[in-house]
Amino acid sequence: MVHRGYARAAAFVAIAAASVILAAYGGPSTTHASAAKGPVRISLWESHSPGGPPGKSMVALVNLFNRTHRGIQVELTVTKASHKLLGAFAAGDAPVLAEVSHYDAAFITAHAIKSWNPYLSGAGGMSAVERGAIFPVTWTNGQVNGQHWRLQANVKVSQLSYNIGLFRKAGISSPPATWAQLAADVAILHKRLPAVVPLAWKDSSAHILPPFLSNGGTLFAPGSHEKKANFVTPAAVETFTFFRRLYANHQMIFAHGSEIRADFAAGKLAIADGTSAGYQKLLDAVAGRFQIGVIPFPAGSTGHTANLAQGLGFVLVAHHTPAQYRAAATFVQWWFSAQPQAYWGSRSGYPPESKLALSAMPSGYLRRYPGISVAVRILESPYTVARPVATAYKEVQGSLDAAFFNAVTGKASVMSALRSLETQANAYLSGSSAL
Amino acid sequence: MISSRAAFLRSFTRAMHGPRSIGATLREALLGYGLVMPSALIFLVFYYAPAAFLAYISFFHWNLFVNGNQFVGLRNFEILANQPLFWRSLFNTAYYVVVLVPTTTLLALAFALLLREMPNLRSGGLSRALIFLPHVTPVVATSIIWVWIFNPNFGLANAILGFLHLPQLNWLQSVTWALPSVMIYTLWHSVGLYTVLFLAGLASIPKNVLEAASVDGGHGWFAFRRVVWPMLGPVTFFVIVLVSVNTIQTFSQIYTLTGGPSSLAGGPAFATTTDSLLIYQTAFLYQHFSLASAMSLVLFVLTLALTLIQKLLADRIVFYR
Amino acid sequence: MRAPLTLILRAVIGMAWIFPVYWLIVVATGARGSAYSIPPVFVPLFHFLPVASVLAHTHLLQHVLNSVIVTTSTIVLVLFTGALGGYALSEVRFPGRSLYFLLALGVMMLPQQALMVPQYVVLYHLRMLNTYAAMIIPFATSTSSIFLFRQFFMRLPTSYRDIASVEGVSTARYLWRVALPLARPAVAATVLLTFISSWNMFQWPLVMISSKSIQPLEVSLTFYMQAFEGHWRQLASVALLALLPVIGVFALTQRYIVSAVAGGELAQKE
Repeated sequence: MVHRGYARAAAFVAIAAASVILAAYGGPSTTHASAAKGPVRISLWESHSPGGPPGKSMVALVNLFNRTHRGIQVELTVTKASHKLLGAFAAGDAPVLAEVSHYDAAFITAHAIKSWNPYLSGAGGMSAVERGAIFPVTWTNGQVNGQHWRLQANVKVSQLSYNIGLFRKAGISSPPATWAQLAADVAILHKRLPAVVPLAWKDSSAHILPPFLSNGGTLFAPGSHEKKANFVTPAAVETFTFFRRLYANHQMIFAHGSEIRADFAAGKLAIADGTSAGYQKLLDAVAGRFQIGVIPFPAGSTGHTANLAQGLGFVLVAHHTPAQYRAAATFVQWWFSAQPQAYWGSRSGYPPESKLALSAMPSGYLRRYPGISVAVRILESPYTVARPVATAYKEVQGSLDAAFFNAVTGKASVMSALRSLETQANAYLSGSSAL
Repeated sequence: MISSRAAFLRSFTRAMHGPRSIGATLREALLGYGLVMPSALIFLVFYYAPAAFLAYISFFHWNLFVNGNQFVGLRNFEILANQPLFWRSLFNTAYYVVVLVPTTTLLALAFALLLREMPNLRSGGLSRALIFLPHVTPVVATSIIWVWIFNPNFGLANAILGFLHLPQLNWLQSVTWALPSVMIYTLWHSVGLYTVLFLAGLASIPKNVLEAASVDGGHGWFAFRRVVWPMLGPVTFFVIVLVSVNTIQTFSQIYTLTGGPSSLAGGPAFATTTDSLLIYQTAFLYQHFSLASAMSLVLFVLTLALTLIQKLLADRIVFYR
Repeated sequence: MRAPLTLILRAVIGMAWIFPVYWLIVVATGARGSAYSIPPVFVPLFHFLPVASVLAHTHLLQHVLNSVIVTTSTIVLVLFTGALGGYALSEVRFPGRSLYFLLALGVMMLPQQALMVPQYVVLYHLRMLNTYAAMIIPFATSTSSIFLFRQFFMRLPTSYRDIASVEGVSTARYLWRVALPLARPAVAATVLLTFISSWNMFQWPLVMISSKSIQPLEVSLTFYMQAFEGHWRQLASVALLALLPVIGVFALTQRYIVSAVAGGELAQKE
C-alpha cells in the first residue's frame, strides 16, 4: 500500500518535472506534414454555433467540398476563433484559413494574414461571371487599397420585422417607407394598442449608422483619409433627435437581440429592429403563430434608405505553403459558386452572397421568406456600404453606441453627446488610443 | 531518473525520525519541497509563466509573433491613463466591489445566524442547501433565467415591483440599474458559499462560550456584539478577501447578462464595462493585446494592494482586540 | 429569536433562492411562452417533449463521458496535490514555505481574461492542445484545496504526529492512514468545489480543444443554448440538463461542506 503510494507520487513528480523541462526548452519541434503524399490538408477555424442552421450548413458544405475535391481536405474546427487565433499566432500553430469578423489592420501590419489577390486571379482563378455575380458590397467588404484581405463567408444587413396582425389591429395598412412615416405609425400603435411596445431598437452601431447615412451623414470627415469622424453634423442631430423623441414619448425601447425576439414572439412588440441573421431566430420564436412582415430601414432625408453590410470573412493566415493557399483559394472560389451559395442562402438563415444563387435556390423560397428576400434587395442597393475597416473603428462603434444611448434616453443632450463622441472617435481614429 | 526520484522520496520520508540535527533539518526541508512540488509546478507552468509573459508584453508593441516585438516602455500605460473608457471601467469595478463586498458579507452573516444551530432549534440544513445551490450552477445556464426576470416589460422583477406599487425599472436596459442588476444576480449566485463559511465560523465557537454569554444575561444583540462577533473576526476577514478577489474578477455574468456572444457586452453606454470585461474586449475584439496585458497588470496590482490593505486593517482590528 | 419566526424566515429565504431554478423547470416543461405570460405561471406542466428533443439532438452520452473523465481525474489529482501542499504548509518547516503560501494565494488574483493567450502557447509547447490532459493538468491543483487541507491538518493535535514519528511511521503512511481519514470533510469539500469548477468549465475547452469527440458536456450544451435561442422551452431544457448533474453531486456532498471549512484559521492550534 505504502510503496504503491511512493511509486505513484514518484511518477507524478517525474511527469511534472518532465513537463517543465519540455517547457523550458521551448517544446518539441513540430513537423508540418503537409508536403507528404495524399490530399492537401487545410485547417479552417470558424465560430458558428454547431447546433444552429449556419453551423450545420457550414459542416454540410465543407463535407460536400471534401467529397467533390479529392485533392483537398478541409479540416473544420468550430471554436472561439478570435481567442484561439491570438494564441495560435504566438505559438506558431495558426490554421490556413480562419473566419474572423472584421479583420484588424493589426493583422496586416504584423504580416499575419495574406492578400487573396494572387490566388484569385490568373489561371485557375475565379471566372469573370462568378466574380461579377457577387454583390459588390460583399465583394469589397474586406478590401483595402485594392487588396482583398478578407472574403465574406456570410453577410448580414440590418432590417425591420413587424407583426402584421398588430398593424392591422391598429388600422395601419402598409409598413412605413420613410422615417417620418415610421414615427407616425408608432404613434398610432402606441395610442391604439397601449399594451404593446411599438418599436424596439438596438443600441448598436449597425442600427444607428444606417439611419444616420440615410439622413445624409458620412462615416468619416471628407478628405480626412479615415482619420476623423463626422458626427457633429445636421444628419447626426436629426437622427439622434428622431429617436430621442420616440423614446421620450414611450414609443420605443432599447433591447438586445434575444429580448427583442422574445418580446416580439410574445406578441407584445409591433416593430423589431434586427439583422437578417436574426430573422431565422425570429421565425423560430414566433413559430407560425402570426404573420411577420419584413422591410428595409425607411428612407431618410436624402430620399433613399441606407445600410451597412457586415459578417464573418475568410482570411489566409501567414506561414503556410503555396499549395495550401491554392487549395484554400479553390475552396473559397467554390464557396462563391452557384450551388454552395444556393445551399447557404436557403439553409443557413443568411442571404446568399452571389446573384448566381438566386436562380439556383428552391423555387418560392424567397417569396416564403421575406427576411431573406429583403436582405438580398438591401445587398443589391447602391446605398449599402461595407462596415468600415479603419484601425480602431470598433472602438469608435462602441463610443457611438454609448453616445446614442445617452442622447436618446435623455442622459445627455444631443449636442453634448455628439461632441464628446466626436472627440472620442477622433482620438481612436488618429491612432493615439492604442499602438 | 525515476529511480533516483524514488530514492529521493524515500529519503525525505525518513526525515521525521531521530533527533533534530542539521541532517534532519535538511531532510525536513527536502520533504517540504517534495510535497509542494506538484502544485507549485502547476502554478508556475500554467499560471505564473503565462502571467510573466503578459507583464513582459505590456512594455512592448506585440506583433502577434514571438520575435520582433517593439519595446515601447511605459507607452501602453500612458495610453491607458489617457483613455476615458479605462477610467470608466475602473470606476465601474470599484462601484461593483464597494457595493458587493459589504452587502454580500452582511447578508451571508445574517443568513448564517438564521440558519445556525440554536439552543431550541436544529440547524436549517435544507435552506442552507437551497441557498448554496445557485453557487453550483453554471453562470451561462442560470443567467438566461435572470434575463427573463429582468425584462423591463414582461419580466417577473417588474411584476413584483408593480404588485408592491413601486415604480418599475428598466433593469439591464438602464444606465443606472444595469450594474445593480448584475450585482443582484451575483449576490444570488454567490452568497451561499459565504454563508457556509460563516456557518463554519459559528460552528467553531465553543458551545460553553455561547452558554456562558447567555447565562450572564447576554441575549440577542449583546451576546452577538460581545461574544460571537469577536470570535468571527478571522472568518469575516477571510470572507471579505474572498468576496473582494471574486468581485474584482467578475466576468461571466456581465458578459452573459449584458450582451452575450452576439452583441457588445458591457452596456448600455458602458455602464457595466468593468475592468475584466474591458481586458477581454481590448484583447479579443479590439485586438490590442499589449494594451490588454497592461490593463491586466494594473488590475493585478490593484487586487494585490486591496488584499494587503485588508490584511493590514485586519491585523489591527481583528487579531489584536 | 423565537423558533417559529426563525423557521418561517428560513423557509422564505430558501424558497426565494431556489425560485429561479424552479422557474427554469416551469419554463422548460410548461406551455410555450410561459416565461413572459402575465400574470406569471408558477406551476410546471411537465411536458417533457422539449427535453426529449434536446436529448435526441445532442450526442449527450459521449459528452457526459468526456466530462466524467475530465472531472474525475481532476478531482483525484487535486486531492493528491492539495493534501500534500496542505500538509507541507501545516506540518513541515522548510525555507520558502511562506513563498509557496503566497504563490498559492496569488494565483487567485491573476486576471484571467488575457491569460488564455500565453496559456495556449504553454499547452502548445507541452503538446497538450486538444487532449484530455489540457482540461486536467492545469487544474490539477487549487488554492482552496491546499488551504482546506492546511486548515484541517493544523487542527490535528501535534501529538498524533509525534506518536507516529516515535513509532517509526513514515510521512506517507501517516498522511494516508491518519491525517487524510481525519480530514474527510476537507476531502468532501474539495471534491465538491473541484467538481463545480471542472464540470462548469466552458471558455477553456472551447479554446484549447478542437475535436468534438473529447469536448465536455458543458461546451456542447452552451453551443446548443445559442442554437435554441428562439425556442425558449428547448433553451430552458438545455439549461436544465446542464444543471442536473451538478445538482446531483451537490445533493450528495453538500452536508459535509460546513464541517469541511470549519477549521484551520478559525481554531487555534493546541
